[in-house]
Amino acid sequence: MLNKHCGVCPSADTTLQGFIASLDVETAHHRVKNQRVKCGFGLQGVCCRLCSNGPCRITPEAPQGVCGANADTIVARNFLRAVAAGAGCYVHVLENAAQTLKELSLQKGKFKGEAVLNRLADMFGIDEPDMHQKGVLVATKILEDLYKPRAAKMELVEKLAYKPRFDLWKELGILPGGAKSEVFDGIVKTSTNLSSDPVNMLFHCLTLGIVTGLYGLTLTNLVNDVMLGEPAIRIAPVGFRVIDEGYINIMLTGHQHAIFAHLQDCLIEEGISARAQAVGAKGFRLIGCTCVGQDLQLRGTHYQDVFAGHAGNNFTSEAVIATGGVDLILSEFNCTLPGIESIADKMQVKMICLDDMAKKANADLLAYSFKDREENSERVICEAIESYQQRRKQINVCIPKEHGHDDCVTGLSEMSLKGFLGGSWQPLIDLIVKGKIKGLAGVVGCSNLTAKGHDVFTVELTKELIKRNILVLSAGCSSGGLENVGLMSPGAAKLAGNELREVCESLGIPPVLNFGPCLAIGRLEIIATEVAEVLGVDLPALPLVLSAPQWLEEQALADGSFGLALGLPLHLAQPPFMTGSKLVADVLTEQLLNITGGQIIIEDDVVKAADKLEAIIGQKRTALGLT
Amino acid sequence: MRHVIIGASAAGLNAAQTIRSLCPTDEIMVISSEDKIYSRCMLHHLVSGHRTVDSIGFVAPDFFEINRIHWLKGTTVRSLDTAKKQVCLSDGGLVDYDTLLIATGALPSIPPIPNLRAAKNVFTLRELSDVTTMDHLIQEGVEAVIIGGGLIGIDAAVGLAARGVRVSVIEMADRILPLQLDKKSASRYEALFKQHGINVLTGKSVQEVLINDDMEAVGVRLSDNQTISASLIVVAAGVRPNTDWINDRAIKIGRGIVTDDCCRTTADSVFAAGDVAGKTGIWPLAVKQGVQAAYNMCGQKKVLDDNFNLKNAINFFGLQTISLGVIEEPDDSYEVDIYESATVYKKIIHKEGIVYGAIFQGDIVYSGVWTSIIGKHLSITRITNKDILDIDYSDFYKTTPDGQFCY
Amino acid sequence: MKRIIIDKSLCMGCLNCTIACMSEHSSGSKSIYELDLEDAANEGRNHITLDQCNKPTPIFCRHCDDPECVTACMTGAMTKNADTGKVSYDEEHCAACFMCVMSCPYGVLKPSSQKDKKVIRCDYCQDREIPRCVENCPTEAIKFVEVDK
Repeated sequence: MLNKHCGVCPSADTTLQGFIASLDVETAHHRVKNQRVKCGFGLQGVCCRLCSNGPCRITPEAPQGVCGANADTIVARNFLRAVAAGAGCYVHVLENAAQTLKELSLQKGKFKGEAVLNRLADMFGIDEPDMHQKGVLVATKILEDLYKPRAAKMELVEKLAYKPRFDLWKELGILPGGAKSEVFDGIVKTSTNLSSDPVNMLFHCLTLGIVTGLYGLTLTNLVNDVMLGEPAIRIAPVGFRVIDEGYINIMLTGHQHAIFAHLQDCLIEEGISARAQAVGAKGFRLIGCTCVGQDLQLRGTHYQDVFAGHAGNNFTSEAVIATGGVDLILSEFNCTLPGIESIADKMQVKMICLDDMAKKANADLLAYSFKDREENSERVICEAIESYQQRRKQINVCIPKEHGHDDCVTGLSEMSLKGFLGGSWQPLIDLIVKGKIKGLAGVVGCSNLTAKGHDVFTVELTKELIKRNILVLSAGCSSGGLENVGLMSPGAAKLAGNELREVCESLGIPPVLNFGPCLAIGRLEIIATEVAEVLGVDLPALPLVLSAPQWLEEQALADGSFGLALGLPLHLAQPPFMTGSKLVADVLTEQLLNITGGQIIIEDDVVKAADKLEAIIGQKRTALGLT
Repeated sequence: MRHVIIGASAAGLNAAQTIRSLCPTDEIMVISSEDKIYSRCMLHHLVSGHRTVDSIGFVAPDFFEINRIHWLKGTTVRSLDTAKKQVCLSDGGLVDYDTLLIATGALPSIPPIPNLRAAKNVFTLRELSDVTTMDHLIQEGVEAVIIGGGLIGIDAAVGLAARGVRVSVIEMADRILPLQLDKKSASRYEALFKQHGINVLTGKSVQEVLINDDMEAVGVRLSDNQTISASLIVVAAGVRPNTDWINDRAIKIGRGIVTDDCCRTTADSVFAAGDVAGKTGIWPLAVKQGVQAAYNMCGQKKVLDDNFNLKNAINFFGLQTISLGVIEEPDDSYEVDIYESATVYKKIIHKEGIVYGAIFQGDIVYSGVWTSIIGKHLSITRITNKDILDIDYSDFYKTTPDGQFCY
Repeated sequence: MKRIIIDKSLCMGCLNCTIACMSEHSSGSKSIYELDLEDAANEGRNHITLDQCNKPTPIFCRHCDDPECVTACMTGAMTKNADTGKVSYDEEHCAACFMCVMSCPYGVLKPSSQKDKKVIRCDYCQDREIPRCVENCPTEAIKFVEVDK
């Protein structure tokens, strides 16, 4: 019996794995092997590089750094700094989105999601009949909050948050001041010989979690919905099969859908295809990869002619470029892997960076500015045409068309799902009460390569959860992985437990619902809030669990802090570099239960993780008087 | 006590050294037909000119003095009398012994090819004299044929090619190094050899050596009737234990000298070690047998616990290969795990948790652990959380009280 | 003789031993700051690997009492010093046959990645009282200890 080894890390998406193994370029999947021996101090979070007396590491012989910082301080400092950076990422995204809304409104531009603008204005207490003026006011309100000093509490928190949560946060003293100031102070606090109070630092993480969740996640979605249109449920193709080499293909990486608004509109204009046809292509296509791709997919109903589909998550991006089918890459945020630089060079793909946050060494910087959008969109289109012309004669295109699925259900949001259920959450609540759906699990966040392989833990855990009749809601790069293995296609219902399977088949939905980008974790929170309101309980009482099994980066830790602030149980397959401190580990995994109701659960065995999450759902059901 | 050792290669000299460390006052004599100490496995480096005979010695220059061993060099043994416990030398001298170790190695086999024995300019690559005698024929552009594509044949080919000789290797099997390599790993060397001016002809045999009126070989005729011209022929068609000179009936000879697991022959106080006993075929085992024989010669029973001899390390033109155990799966019931890239080829043959063979080519880093896994028949069943290609000593990690590793 | 004794349970996989070794054997300065971590010519003589439980495990040359590498060496380049117990490697005399790499039962040895070198093998840091790796282990997972021969 012959077993062929391919020298790349395993992927839940075996078609992708085979494709990557066949490439003659190196990707992240190849590099995992040589990086596999990890520094134990780093893994535990007990390495501190803040000053020149270091780097210090905590060991039995040396339980304190030179300055006297113990493991608790070092771990908490490292953790807060990471959460601050992650929160900062999301605040940047919202800032750009709100700024764009403001400018669009001032220019009296078109809103594709007016209903959302009205909802936001209502929520903020803005009474203004003129839509454009309304837009200015809504955007301004958001920006004002972001720029407040730390001592001034942000006003919109009370309007956005679920009341019981808001009251608790107020009592705990973790209501955020100005978003940027909170991030800023998080960095300052964790510098050398400043804070050495681990609990204070952890509470600051919760504050940053609130900033991340309500602003970075929730508001960004809503602001984008106003400008780009609301998500609508539809069936869409996903995977590498969406790349059609007959088109001039532009790949997007990042999180800022707002930045592409003008370009997208240009590309659905009358006559744009003619420009492509003049050089032998059928037209233009945008290829989604990373969260912004998920956002385009969510709102795809408004851009059907130009959005080809979501090819895959962040760790598929190198392979997408290696197919040769991409002519231009536009990067504006993460995940834009440094690894794409050499592949783009080899494949002669032009790279343009629209936000220097995501600048690749070999990309041209064309910084996004609303004012220059016409000129910039035109430049992008010209570069795409030129790149197509130059490179297609010289580069072989090899796209694995069998990869992916044609029938992924996408476009779910807090509104579209409620609409699908008839306009209220009652049908969903009934199914949960009856036990047809035992509970809800948000399997969210990133993709990584080390929790058993690329998306391996995510996919296996999701399968275990749906087997146990738990409906899975997904948002983030994990969605990219789940959709490419077919779990977000209606046919996946047969992998679910009997009750859930029946529900899905009767509704024609998959047991794993695709909410799109990690930003959509904010949408999940809205759903949780609305369901909790109907039931008259606080969020921790819901039969709802979260897992970010293959969390990757600082933003994930900021998302996680939001989950903890909301009082939800959050499972992670790998600990977030904090086990070196008994105090920090204890607070995050035990003590928080009595503070916010939240809890981190570390479990690197798939079945055990599913068991634990199922048990928690069971407990919540019992407490609600359900069987 | 006088210990006499015939043969001064791997088994012989290691035996001598071991006897000295065990018996500080006994007399030790080594008899060898040559007057230099060198590693036969390195002769091809002399052919290529990369080394001189002094730099292929495998013991220190003062080995005999330091160890107080009497070296009777340039002397052959004419006959043995095991009843009298006496060795008769070619010059008529008689040497009595208390224990005798025969470590005379192996000689090249000469296949019965017409004209092969008779022709001049036909050589083997076994001794220093072979190298010095063939040297005058080696020049850039000269054509040579090597009969046999095994280890010695390939060594010879590479040595000659380094001097600009146009070499053709004729091998009966469908690939060179058929005992060590499978088709894939052999093909990588065959391609490299071609780049370096060595022509490899497989699946063919030499039917006749063509000679001129002066009895010089001018070429060979192959089994497919092809003729290859050559002014130099090297025979590397296998070896056989060097036992022809033994005329004493008390010593039973089978494939080689028959020995028990303590290196004893059937004659009293006579031991045999190394290639002459027909069990080894590789240097490390010859060394171990020499050491083992030495213990038993000094009255300390020592049984060799490691007889694993299906192991070889090969290095030509920058391509390194290690071959262990079986190189092809005996049947479908065996699992074969393969990793292949442009520069690396790895194959592991296993069944029910026991590894029977492996070939590692292009990447032999840290691969010694597989020699133990295969040679000691260690089970890998419990190693479930690792790719088989990632198995290393960490999964067998065990230390002795004084900090050595063990299994 | 002294041997590097390993306590596997204390190894944190930080690889400080590996880079200390590279630094000690680098052709230029022995300062850790100047070690070119991007240069493949810098190779550690010992290595850390992961067992199947992902536990970092030091695989260090034992300078064995009965070294297989010495037994396998066909040129006498590998020798064991009966007094100090150290196994020495004469790179010039070595013929790069790699029988030693094959024979080390614990997979400690490897060929060099550089054309001008042959086998990478631990020499217990000739010119130092304590091997550099031992000095640089933050958890004392490796110690240089006198053992009975």
